[in-house]
Amino acid sequence: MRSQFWGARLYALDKNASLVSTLEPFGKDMFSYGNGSAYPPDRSQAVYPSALTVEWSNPSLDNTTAFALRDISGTMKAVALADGQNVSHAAKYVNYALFGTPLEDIYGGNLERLRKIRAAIDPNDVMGLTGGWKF
Amino acid sequence: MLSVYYDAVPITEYSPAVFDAFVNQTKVSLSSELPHPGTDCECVLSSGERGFML
Repeated sequence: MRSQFWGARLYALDKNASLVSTLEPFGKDMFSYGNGSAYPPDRSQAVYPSALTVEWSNPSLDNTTAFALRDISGTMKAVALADGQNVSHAAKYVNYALFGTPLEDIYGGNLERLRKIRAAIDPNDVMGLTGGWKF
Repeated sequence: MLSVYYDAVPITEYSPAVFDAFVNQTKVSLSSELPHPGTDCECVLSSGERGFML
């Protein structure tokens, strides 16, 4: 049964592995307060961030767990779309997004402006020496 | 040492279909195989299936 695939498989590979879903049911009017911001790029509908977390102890599973998270995320998006939810271009919450996530998937239409701000404020790209998302 | 990865799943409503999918995607095993059977971590999906949430 595919729905149990990743939980069962990761647990079989690493008894310290865990998969956690964190659902965050904020108010439907959550984006009606405040002004425009880098995230979310679209404030026309409430989008709950929802975090998937995987923990494991075997370093040889690093690529497997990342693959599993991307697979689960893709499945969840497909379920939401099939449920009639308008999430085809819904932004991923920056603090939860997995490494390698395209910046467009987080900042949407704000990305170009953010790149211009980065170039103007940090022309030597000092912040590019740190971790995190690179503009 | 434990390693941790996160990913974000933008959702506009935690409908029964979405909720069950979240639980199904992340549960470890059915109740007969629970690492700690009988704990309050057991759950019952709307489909009637029993599962385990970490």
